[in-house]
Amino acid sequence: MTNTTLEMTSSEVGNPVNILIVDDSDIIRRMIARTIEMSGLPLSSIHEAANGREALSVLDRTWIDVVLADLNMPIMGGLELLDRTREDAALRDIPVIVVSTESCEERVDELEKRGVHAVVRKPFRPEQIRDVLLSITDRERPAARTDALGRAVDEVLPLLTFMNAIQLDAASLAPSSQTMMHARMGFSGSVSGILSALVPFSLARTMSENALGEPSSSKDADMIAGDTVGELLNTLAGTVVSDLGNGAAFDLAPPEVGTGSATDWADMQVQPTCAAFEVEGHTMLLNLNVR
Amino acid sequence: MMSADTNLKSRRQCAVPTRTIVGISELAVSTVGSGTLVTHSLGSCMGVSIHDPVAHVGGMLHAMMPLSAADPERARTKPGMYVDSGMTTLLERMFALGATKRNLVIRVAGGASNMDSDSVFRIGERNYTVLRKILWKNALFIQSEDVGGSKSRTMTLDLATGETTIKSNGVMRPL
Repeated sequence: MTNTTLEMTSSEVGNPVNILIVDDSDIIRRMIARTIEMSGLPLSSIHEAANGREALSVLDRTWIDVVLADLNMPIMGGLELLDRTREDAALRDIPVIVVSTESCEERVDELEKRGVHAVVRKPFRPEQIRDVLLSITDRERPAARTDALGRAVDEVLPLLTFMNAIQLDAASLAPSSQTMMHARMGFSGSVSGILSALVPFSLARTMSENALGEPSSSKDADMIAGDTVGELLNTLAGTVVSDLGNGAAFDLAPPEVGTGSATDWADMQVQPTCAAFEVEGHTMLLNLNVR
Repeated sequence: MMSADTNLKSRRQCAVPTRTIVGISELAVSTVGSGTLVTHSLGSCMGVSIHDPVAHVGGMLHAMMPLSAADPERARTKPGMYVDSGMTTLLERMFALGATKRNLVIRVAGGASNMDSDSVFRIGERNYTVLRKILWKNALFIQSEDVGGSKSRTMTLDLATGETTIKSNGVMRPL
């Protein structure tokens, strides 16, 4: 036992954070979650995963701001999880805190070389977890860039689909149970993150017909509509990243397109990073998360 | 006991800043917003200084032993004797005076091993562990601490600023 000073800085600023805890021990996950709740961070959600594979599946469908991960876990350990996130444009810059029994200095150095933000040794004091978390979340967090989304839509939509859009307040929209397409893509460069979209199927179909200049045959309408939404996302991402990164080089991951649900809509429209657009009587949502 | 356990609110008119001594096995709370709470000779005992800078409520505990289960009757008449009953009572009194959990700044000193030289009972360590357990159960963090070792400490809480200082071996430093 030695003298320590654990300085606390209260953190009421910045967007609320989404945290992922990865550990095969239920008790450790719960202890970490309790510490996070105690620390007074502006918290949006805490997600849990019992191994690397579960973590990747959470990361695939949810925006996560910080990952706390163990190293030794069944199915997929923390090192492989770390490597996988570093290979993914959308996840490359996510701050990772390793919470593990690892104490070998060489290995800790190696982890830091691989981009781990901090290593907290188990068993930990709650103050340690809090201090590391605050050191990450106290950095200036990027504000929601719905303004950049508006500019990108104004630039892209008339060129690609011969349409104009009016930006709406996403949070005040009614829920939607329309059939819709869900698309997302990662990007990295001077800014990195994920752009996702929910586009009603009927709007996607009109977009594709506009782009083609003729009605598509009913048998390939779905495919063409999906392709159009993917390309819309691709060009929007390119425009947004170029705008935010002042023209610096960037990489875009291929867009993933599927179907969206009413739940997806409800989840997306409440995000501070979400923007809504009215396009020819339809409403679509775009969500831009950047680090 | 009387001076320490008295709610100091009644002395608000007093011009000279008060210096209240918290004796062994005692605890004190104050809403005066000036003066100091002081406890001397913290060896294996656990000293806890708590301050709510928003509600201007301060409190201090000097507990001798970890668990009130050792003598529940004694703990009822003198809760400050034990870390568990002392912390519970101290927190309850501070909350009753308007302190809120989110604003509490908790500083801890003591838990030395000098008082039981053969280390059979390891009272200092037990006191500290029980304190951490109670704080964890109450979802409270320790802001700073000076614990363990083998020195005797004096802890002072400045009720105006919340600043806590430790004096040991003739040296005074902020905690």
